[in-house]
Amino acid sequence: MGHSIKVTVNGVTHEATVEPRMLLVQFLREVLLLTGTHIGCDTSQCGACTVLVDGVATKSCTMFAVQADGKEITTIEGLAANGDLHPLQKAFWEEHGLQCGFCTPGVIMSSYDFLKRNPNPTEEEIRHALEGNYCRCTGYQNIVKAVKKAAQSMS
Amino acid sequence: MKIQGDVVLPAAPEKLWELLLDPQIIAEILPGCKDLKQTGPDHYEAVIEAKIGPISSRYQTRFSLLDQKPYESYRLHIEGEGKGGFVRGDAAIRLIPENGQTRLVYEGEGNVGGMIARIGQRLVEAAAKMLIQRGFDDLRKKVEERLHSKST
Amino acid sequence: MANYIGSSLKRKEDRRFITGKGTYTDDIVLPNMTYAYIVRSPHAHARIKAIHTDKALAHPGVVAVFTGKDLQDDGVNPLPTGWQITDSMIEPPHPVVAVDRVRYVGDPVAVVVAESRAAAKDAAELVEVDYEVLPAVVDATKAIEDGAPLVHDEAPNNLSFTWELGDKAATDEALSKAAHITRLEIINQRLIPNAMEPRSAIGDYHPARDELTLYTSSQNPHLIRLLMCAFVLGIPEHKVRVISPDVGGGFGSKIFHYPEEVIVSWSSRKLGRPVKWTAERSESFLTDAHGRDHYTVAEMGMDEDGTILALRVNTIANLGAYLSTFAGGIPTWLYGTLLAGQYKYPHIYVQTKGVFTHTTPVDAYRGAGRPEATFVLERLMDTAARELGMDPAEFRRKNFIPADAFPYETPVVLTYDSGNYEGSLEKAMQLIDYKKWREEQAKARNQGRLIGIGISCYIEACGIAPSKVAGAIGVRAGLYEGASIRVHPTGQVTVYTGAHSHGQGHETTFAQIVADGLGISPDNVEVVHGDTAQIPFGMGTYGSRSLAVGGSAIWRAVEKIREKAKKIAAHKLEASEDDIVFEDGKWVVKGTDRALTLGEIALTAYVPHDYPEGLEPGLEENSFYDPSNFTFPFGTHISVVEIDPETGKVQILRYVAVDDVGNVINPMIVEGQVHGGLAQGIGQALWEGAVYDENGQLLTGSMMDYAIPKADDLPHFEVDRTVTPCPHNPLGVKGAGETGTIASTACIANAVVDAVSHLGIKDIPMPLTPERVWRAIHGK
Repeated sequence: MGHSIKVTVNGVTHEATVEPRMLLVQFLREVLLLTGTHIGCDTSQCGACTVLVDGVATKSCTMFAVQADGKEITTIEGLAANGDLHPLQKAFWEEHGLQCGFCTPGVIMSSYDFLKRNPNPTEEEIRHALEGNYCRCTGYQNIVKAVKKAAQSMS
Repeated sequence: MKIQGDVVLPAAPEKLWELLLDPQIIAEILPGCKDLKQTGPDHYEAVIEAKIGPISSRYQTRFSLLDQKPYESYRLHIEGEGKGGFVRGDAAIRLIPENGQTRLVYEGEGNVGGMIARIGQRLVEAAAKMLIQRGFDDLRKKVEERLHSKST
Repeated sequence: MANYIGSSLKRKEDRRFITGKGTYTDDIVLPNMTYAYIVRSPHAHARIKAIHTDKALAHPGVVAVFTGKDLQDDGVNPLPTGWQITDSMIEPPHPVVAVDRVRYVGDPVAVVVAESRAAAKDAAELVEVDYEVLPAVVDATKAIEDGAPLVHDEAPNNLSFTWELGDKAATDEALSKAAHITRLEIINQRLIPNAMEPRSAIGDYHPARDELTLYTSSQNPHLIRLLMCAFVLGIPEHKVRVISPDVGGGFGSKIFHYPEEVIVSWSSRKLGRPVKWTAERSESFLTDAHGRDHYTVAEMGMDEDGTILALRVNTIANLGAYLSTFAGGIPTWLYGTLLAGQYKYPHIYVQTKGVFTHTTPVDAYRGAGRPEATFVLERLMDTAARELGMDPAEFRRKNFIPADAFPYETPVVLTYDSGNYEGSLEKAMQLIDYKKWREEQAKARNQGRLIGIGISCYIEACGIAPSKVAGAIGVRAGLYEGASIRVHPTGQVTVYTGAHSHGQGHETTFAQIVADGLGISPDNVEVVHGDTAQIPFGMGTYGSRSLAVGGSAIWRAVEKIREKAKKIAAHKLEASEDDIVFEDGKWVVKGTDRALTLGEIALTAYVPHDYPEGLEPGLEENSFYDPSNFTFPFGTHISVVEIDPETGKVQILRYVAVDDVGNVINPMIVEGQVHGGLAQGIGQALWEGAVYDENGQLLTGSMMDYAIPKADDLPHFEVDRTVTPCPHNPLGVKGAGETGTIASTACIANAVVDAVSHLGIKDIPMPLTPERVWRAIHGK
């Protein structure tokens, strides 16, 4: 029943045998124990499970682990290079862009992809870009501020 | 969920009646119907596979053809359970003669519960209409086939 | 002092969250762990005729299948409720797993435990339950009618209690003499909390030590331990440790003792292996306690010049199928007592009927009773002003409790300690430029545009609660808070608090308090919460109580540490204890430069080679703080909305919030709390609402159908403050977690109605979706 896959996650290549129905998010959390990627819903609305697949923000609950075969995945755990926080991580910290922290990894990964495509966004563009990431704590105001600040510090 | 509508079938009620109660026809026109078994006079069991939006489900269903007034009307009662929850439906079916054909009028209530109700609700009514439409299209074809084969 | 108190210190807890290193319950993996999946009723009301578990048991990987009868036969008791509203309140048993009847869609029916989540879920589909489906009732106003299906045989007309407060006769009389009566019929719709982390629990029983550890995503670990040990499982509390690790939001929904906590604990004891359960989101929708769900008729009477004479409120509160932990108290004591609001009027009478229905249990959700009260009152204030031809701000001003009237005793038992309502209204009006918007509104109307201005002046009673008061109003618990401070030999400090942080930033705020209190850096203060084995006792976090009650407990412990440190300093500095003062973070001999820091004192406390007789070694103190009153945050929120007449869509143009939460420890965190509260309150006004069909099927059972506010739905909030310190707690703080939610629902609803009132529209029921607003405008 199992399928062999080879996936590079945060720069480390993993080989594993997985059931065809295993979702990428389950593979990350339950096989690799990278629990920074969260599951917040079962209908691909909330975005808590967002990771980068070959550099593109992807809700990892919409993808089977077998579909990640041969791909490069970056999760929140892989964002800080050599222990230095990424500008997005710093900005979320400085602007109080998180409260309970559950949606945060997904929001940060979505923002990462977004800022690559739009390095100098307006508030409106940021709000639009984040509509696939639900946050129940912050009212989004400080998330928007954090993304803006990160954009400024990255440019 | 209210279900109602009508369909014109190319045969008089007297000719249709038997076909409507024929288990083999029922099995063929019931969308997703697998493995129909008769459990008593006018009582049947079947497995129905339904797919609504993101959810596909297998239902163990029981249905009965009740209150039969030959050539005029009957009542179809269906209930079933599956991993997506349950389905229950009750429909009154009337046959109205119309220029040698029959207008079949159905009117009923359908309820779904469980996963389909929670997640697929917005799709259920549309899906139900589509499935009923498909069923009646199939029925029309069957009626045409039967009548055609009999006449040849 | 006050180097850190009042500063927007970056949060200490954030590093782990932004790097993906938080530890939520579902992140925990224990050796030999099994997984539970719960078979739930698909029917709102049915008799269980039989449950066939054999096929499920035979499924590969399945360890056990339990039914309600298994738990019952093993002596598992029903879940208790913690708040008795009236002497005659009907409290039907709430089985952990249903035994013979199911009463809402989602009621647990059986539990499958397996080696993997997938195996448990697959096998759960093989559990066959024969139901006899029974008629259900979902609407509380219908449930109390004669002949309605009964949720519990022991509750005739589905009534759990009828509660009342205030002087009915005097209120009726005052209303009969009023020159004008404003009447509103209000549906405060049911909400589904949707904390982003779905609930999760792990039971981990060690047979050799006969010890159970329960990890649970709870706001309230000590209370869960108490309820589960003393009432449900009947096992000794000291053999049970409850850990609530990082918790991904609560908003009330994680206060309560839920069946799954018992299921994993009991199953783990049975199986001798850890058992984990984590809700899928659709289970969260069905089983997290819902909020609100009131039907209210409210009447307010005024004299000719617009002075309010009396208020009469009749509410039917939907309690759902069972009494959840605090269910009874929310639509009664936390609601009726708030109906005086910021206004001075002599007579209030409120009656609430608590009604069972075949729906998910209803309990506290952010604000809990107080948003419902504020909504009733503030909708009435706007409507009355309009009917009297007065400006809504002027009408409120006319009826405010004046700033010199505090402490002020309301007709509904509260004594407000402090307030300056005129001050916050003034400030909010200036910030938004109220006069200018009234002019804009008039201009817009001439152009066929619909602009509305909404005001909401609110009062909140939080910092729950003096234990004496809690006892008097039927709470079956004291509502103090515990804290413990351990100063380590190096001068580092660990603070143990009974409050629980699930986003509120306690690890930072509490560290700021202790840092200033003991003259150290917050970096040297570690705050521990959410573990009954480490913390003496606690009552958890809800009702904006953490800082006012939990923070005060910490401050009391700080004072005890200071006292002890003073004794040590006196000894080491060879001075009289009376001559030692705590100044600039040091223990100083008055009038000299001889001083010791906490670090220097701490070291000697643990290396007491030369201690005199009577001076105890060590530096560690406990404290329990019981508040003497509630705290009363207040404020004014004003919003401006524009409605698209073609689509009915509401756009928020401005939102100004002026809150008075007393002294502020960390302004950044307080503002964040307000933002989040606003999002939830505005969510109720415009989008959110649970919908059941008449058979009790929840139609809004996923995030596809239940509209949680998204980033591009919400405006930029303008948040400001006034500061009126709380006079009765040592920090002068009140609580900031719920103000935004309490004020904003009415604020937005008032603005929307204001935008269309000239079209003859008096009210539109929430949520004010484009469809509803459009229908109101077009009379369809």
